[in-house]
Amino acid sequence: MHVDTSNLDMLKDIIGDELKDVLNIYMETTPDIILKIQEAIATQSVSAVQLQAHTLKGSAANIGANQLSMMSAEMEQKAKQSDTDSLPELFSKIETESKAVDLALADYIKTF
Amino acid sequence: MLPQSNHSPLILVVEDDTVTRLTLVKVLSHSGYEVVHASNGREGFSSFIEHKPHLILMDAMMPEMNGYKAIQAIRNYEQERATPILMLTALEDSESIEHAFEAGATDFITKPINWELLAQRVKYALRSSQIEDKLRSSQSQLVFAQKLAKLGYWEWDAIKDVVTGSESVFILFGIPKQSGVTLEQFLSNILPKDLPIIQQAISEANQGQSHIQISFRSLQHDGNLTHIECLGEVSFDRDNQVTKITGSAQDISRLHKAESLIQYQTQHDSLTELPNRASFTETLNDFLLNQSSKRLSAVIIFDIDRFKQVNGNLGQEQGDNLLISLAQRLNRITREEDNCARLGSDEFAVLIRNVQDQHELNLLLNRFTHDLNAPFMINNKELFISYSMGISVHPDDAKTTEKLIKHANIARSKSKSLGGNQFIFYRPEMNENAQDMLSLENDLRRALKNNEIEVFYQPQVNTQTLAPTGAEALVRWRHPTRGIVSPVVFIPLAESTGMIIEIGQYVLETAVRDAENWHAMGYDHMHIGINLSSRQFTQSNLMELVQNVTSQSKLPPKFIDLEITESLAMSNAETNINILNGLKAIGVSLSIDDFGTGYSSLAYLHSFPIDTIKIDRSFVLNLDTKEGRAIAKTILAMAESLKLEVVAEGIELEEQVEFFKDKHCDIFQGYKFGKPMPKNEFLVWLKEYNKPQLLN
Repeated sequence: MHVDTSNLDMLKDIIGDELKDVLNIYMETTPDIILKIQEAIATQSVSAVQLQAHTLKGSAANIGANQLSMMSAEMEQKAKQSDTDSLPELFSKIETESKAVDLALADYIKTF
Repeated sequence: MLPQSNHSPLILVVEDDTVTRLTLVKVLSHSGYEVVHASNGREGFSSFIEHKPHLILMDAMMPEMNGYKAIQAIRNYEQERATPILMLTALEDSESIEHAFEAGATDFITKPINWELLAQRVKYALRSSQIEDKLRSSQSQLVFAQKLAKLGYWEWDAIKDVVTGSESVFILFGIPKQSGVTLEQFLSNILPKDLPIIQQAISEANQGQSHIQISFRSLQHDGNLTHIECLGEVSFDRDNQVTKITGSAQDISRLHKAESLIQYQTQHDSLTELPNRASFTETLNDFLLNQSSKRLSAVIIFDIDRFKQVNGNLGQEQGDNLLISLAQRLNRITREEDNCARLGSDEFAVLIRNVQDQHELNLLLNRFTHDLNAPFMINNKELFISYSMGISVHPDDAKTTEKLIKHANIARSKSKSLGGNQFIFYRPEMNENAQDMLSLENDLRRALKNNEIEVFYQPQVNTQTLAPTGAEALVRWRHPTRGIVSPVVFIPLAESTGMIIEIGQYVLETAVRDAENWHAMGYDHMHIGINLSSRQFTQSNLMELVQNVTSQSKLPPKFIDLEITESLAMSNAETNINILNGLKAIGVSLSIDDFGTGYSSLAYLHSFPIDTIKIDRSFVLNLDTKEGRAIAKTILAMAESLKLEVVAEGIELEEQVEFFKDKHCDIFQGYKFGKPMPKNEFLVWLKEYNKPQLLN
């Protein structure tokens, strides 16, 4: 399961249809963050990787994308240890997972 | 849900991640809160100053300024209230949680955030902060009530022989408050005659007496006697040995004075309760007997102009009320050490004790007449009255009670014959001086409105390239008839009347606006130095003021250089560190002005978040002596080790430039490069000065 919808349901109970705004913002901002991670890996800038992965970790967890959040946490950790070798592989996993999350969210929005 | 009210609590969300921030804002507004938000610590701090939220949710890791630093800035800025701050941290990160508490966070919320619990946590934190607020206000009420009653508490640990107690009790006993004070030390200012009363009470306690109620006198440093009443409760151990005595102490001097009613009545006027003529004469006698200092004192005698007519119009009863109000006002507007008295029907006297010089006396008199001239409310109507006032000065005019009063009376008659509504000194030459200051003060009140206050700029240049790096803003008063009035003359006037606040704000706003213009014109490296007066620096809304000015200007705050003098910085160093840290968090630069003239504690200097020291001109002047050069070198070496930028002020000569050039000195300021000049002239200077420098 790419998105824990029970978490989203809980949020929906509180803020109602405005959840749609939150999800849309997530889908708008995430590609940008992923792009920045890619650039940072290419330029070997570990501190930038760390910051962007940290952000993605937070916003993914926020909307119940737990897998993606955990992968980002791992990347944040690796970057912190300057373990640059494992970053490209981890990045491609994140990219794939992110796409899956987007699909799941699109499905979820349809239930509104 | 929250109770319905017009004022929902306001919550500030500081979080850099857009998705989390948006979710937080939505969840909180759906839970009934007002929400403002910011995307980094610096913005968060600004928003905190602007909105004064009831609670803050603060992310830890953010660009610009992280959450910990932002919390520190907020805690430094707050004076009384402790706004609850909940820090958002990752669950696994116990180190950052600890870090959060150290910085001053109230509690933490782990990420990912449990949205159902969030509102509950916020509600709980708000409630406990309300309880804390109430507690704090009742505590301060208690302290205030104790102060009103001149009441203090004390405790004597009989086993260790240590006395502890409130600030006020130590003042009452005339002992500096410190730890480890023994009973003997604590009682060292008690009148020796009265000590047996206390010894008696303690020996009774040793015999099992559990209550103490005694009164005795302590000798104050000024030679006055204070009457103290002590109440105490004695604690015993199992063997009936005294372990401690706890109690209160109250200054009952005033009560004591009033105790003998007959004596009181012979010395006081029954209508206004002010001391009467006999009492005033006696007070003045006593004062002159013990008067050995070289300082000035003055006797003011005044009466109400056309009092018969005023009294006739008001009627007897309201006329009496006017005199009572006037007496109460006199007590309020004179200093604690001064004495007021009613000499006759509408005739009053004031003894002003020990002022530094004639200048201070003039300032005090201006204050006094200004306050005295305010209208009275009689029968719900404003009543304006004026006074004829005469002043004699000790020791210059007379050295005896009789003559001081006589001379003040002569001056008062002179004032009356000149039409009243003025004060006249016994000695004519003093009048000129006082009148001059009075009219200057009146003119100063209108100076801002009339655009007479101007900001001049004195250039500063880089010591290596000699290119302009900035300017110091200097205030000038262009008086319509006197021309330019020196700040040395009008700043003390402005300080004493409180006008310095308005003038200071005007200078700050003008200088920042002008510097913003220079930047727009391409001089985008120019710093602007602005002096803060002591009154400004300690005013409670200083940070708000600076924040407003910086947020309304396009000039990046780091180009604004706020200068305070060394003596001001060191005067109350502990508190000043907080103010300086708060200003630093807004992003402005900080300088210590007149460096070397005051007494600096290196420890404080090291912990102050300052960027620059400005070496006082007196050191630059003394460079022609060997000692002068040695002092200057020492100051420079110290600045270098503290990594502070150095500005040398008062540079006039080529030799001075040569001396500083190859040492740790960054910036020159002085007539050698340019004098303080009006805005337009300064712009011309900037354009013309640059040319030869660029050719080099």
